Amino acid sequence: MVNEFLETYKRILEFWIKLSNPRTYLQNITHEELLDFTFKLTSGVFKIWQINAEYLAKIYQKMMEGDPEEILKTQLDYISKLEDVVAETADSPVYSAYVNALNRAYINQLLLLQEFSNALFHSVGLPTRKDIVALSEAYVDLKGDIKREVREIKKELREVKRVLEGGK
Amino acid sequence: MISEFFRNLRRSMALAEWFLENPDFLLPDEDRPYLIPDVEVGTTPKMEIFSDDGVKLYRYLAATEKQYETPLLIVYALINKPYILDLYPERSVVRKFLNAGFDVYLIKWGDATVADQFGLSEYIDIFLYDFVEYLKDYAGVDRISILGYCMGGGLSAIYTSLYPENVRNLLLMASTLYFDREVGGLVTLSDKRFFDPELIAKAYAYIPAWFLAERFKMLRPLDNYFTKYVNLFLNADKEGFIDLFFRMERWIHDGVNVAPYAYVEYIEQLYQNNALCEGKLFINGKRVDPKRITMPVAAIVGRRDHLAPPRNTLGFLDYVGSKDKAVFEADAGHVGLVVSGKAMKMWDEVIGWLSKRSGKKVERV
Repeated sequence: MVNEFLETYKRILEFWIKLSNPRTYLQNITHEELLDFTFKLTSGVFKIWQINAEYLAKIYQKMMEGDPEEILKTQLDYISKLEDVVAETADSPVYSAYVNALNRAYINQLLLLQEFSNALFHSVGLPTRKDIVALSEAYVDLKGDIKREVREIKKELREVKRVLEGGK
Repeated sequence: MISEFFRNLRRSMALAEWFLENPDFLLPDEDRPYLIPDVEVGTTPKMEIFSDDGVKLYRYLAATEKQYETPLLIVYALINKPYILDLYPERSVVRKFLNAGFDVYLIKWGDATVADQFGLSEYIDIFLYDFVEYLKDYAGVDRISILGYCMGGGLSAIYTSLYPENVRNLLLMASTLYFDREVGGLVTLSDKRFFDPELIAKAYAYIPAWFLAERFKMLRPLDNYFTKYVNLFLNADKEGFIDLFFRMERWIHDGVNVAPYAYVEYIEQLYQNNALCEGKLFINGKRVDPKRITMPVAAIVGRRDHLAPPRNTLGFLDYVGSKDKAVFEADAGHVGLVVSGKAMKMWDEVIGWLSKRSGKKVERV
């Protein structure tokens, strides 16, 4: 009984570690990249605290002085600093992995839905977007072939013209 | 404190007044699910001179009697619309070139649909090749200058590597060309371990405009989703601020869909494998070698650009064969590079550089 309990406890713990580890969801992210992101995130939070504190002190001072342009400048400066901190934190492979994982999940659902509807339409003999794409690809190939032929003909015509003009 | 209350009241009224004066909106659709004010943009007169499969070549009407003999072709990105270069008359890069005496042309790539299954090979070897050939005949010249913006810089660099004999000067503005991990931004977001562009192409059969817009916004989530609107409110009582803000909003959200294979190849080959710089890129079986770019090259970058950080463009200069290289920098972001007041001064230097390399001025019909 105790053994069963311990086994189950161990399994739950392993499952929890797996569940809470970002590397479970973010393919191929390295340990260093995760550490780097954690550092960026922590330092980002500290920077925002610092920016907030500076802003509050400065805006209070500018409000007391009552110069509207200076107040506006302080507000814009504060926003710009915040934007930079967030952008710096976002410029990371971990952020990229999260955004792309969400994107992939959405697109995969969409593809599943499309495959289902394509099968449904094809089963009753109706064309789908897949067929239009296939036709378009054939058109692009044809266009390329025609262009090549036309260029070849033009080149030969120029050659003929050159020979004729040389013969005069 | 009370004065701030009154100022906020004035700001609210300025915003309300702007919406009363501009009541029209572009309606949302499946690719652009945004409600965008329909403000006037891209007003410099131009005419269409050539088109193929929705891709159009425009010529801007000249602003001077004589123009430099080498025409300037602007190659815009496959993403978004080119009117950012002509957002409004006072901040128009196109007008600056026209006023300086350049004969300016623009390629507009168009909005891809399911029917446009084009890849990089088609964009370079069919469209860009044909358009440059047509332009050379039209203008009666052997070589042209190319100005590539963002992804358009990538397309221009690939084209120039393949057909250097057609290009007299190459200008790469905020261009996505060099992709080392240290570049960060979109390079990190497109890391091949996490991002598979083929999934998007498979699901939609093209790359929807909203997907690209949201992806760019995610690089600076706080400003793009929240603080820029706070900024709008705080600056609402400044002359012209709301106008500029909504013109930019229109441009950001009024994007175009991108052909699937072109996007997939650009991400996989360039963003994820740096194939252009390393000479591993092939277009229709032809190797793209940047060493063949031996004409004068100018890199134009914004120091605060997060979509195409300066290193994205400048890193490429080490790989080109040209000895005549110039760098122009402005304290601006990706869009600020073409609309901000600070950047406008830098454009005078760019125009000066290009003028010296565009031959003499001639009269054109």
